[in-house]
Amino acid sequence: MGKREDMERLHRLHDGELDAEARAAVEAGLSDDDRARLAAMDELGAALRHTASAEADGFDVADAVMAAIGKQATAPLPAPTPITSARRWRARAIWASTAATLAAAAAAALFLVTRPAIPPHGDACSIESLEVSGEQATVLDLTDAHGHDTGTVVWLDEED
Amino acid sequence: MLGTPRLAIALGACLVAVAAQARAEAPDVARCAVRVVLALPQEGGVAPELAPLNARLTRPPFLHWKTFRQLSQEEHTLKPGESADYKLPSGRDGKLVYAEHATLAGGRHVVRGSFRVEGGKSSARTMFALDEGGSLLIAGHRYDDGILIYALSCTAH
Repeated sequence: MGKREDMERLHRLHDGELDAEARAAVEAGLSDDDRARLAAMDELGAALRHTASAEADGFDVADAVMAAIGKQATAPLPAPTPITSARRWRARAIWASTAATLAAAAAAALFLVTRPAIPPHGDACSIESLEVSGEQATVLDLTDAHGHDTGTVVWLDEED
Repeated sequence: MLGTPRLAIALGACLVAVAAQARAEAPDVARCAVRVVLALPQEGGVAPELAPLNARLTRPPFLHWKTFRQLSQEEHTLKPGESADYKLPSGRDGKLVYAEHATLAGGRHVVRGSFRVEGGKSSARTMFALDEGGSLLIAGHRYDDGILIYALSCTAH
């Protein structure tokens, strides 16, 4: 059996999609690496279930970052302002935080992230989820004027 | 037995193809690096050892920061499910978990994992799927009149 098929079976085992017979067969053949993978899937899955993240497709990053800037305005450190004026940088914002921020996010009609599509190439990074406590997080997926991915920045903003 | 050599050649070609495919899917072990960068607002430029990140650090959202120093860089070789712990300069602890390597349609290679930073009253765990060789930047924690940037990258070979 190919490695891809092995991984598929492992994912199906993890997701509880196998019948009893198939499950027993796969479990009997698990290697140490397979068990490590299952453990990692458990961790990621648990975090996904408890994730406190939200996404708004087409959401202008300016709004998200301005909120962060406003929060930092009284602080002595400069804020990540350029994104707000550099409109050529398209960005998708994922806004995650404690309950208060989540309430604000819900009010802004954001919806829960499960597994966003992975950007096409380059320095691409897909943030599958964020779990934060005691701080706010903004995810900036940046592209240049040509739409090429120029990377992802997760901005953490500690709550006072 | 004219067919035998042809059969052997065909079998050999199949084996080579299977081996190549297995090799393409085999890189389970990943080499993951975490750099810790201090960004300061005063003029000073990007430290030479941060050259691979220069383009990322000199554009939004970092334009207000003019000095970038590398405080540390640690690399670990990880198998799926394994993690590496990092002592961060802010007194926080970092934990990088490597989950898996995946080959996507079109031949793109990505690594999936998570990075947790915790300390004091706050914690953040980011789960990501990152292009092999690419960098994910996690920034914003205040430190020494500046901010910290954690730059994560992994290659699975």
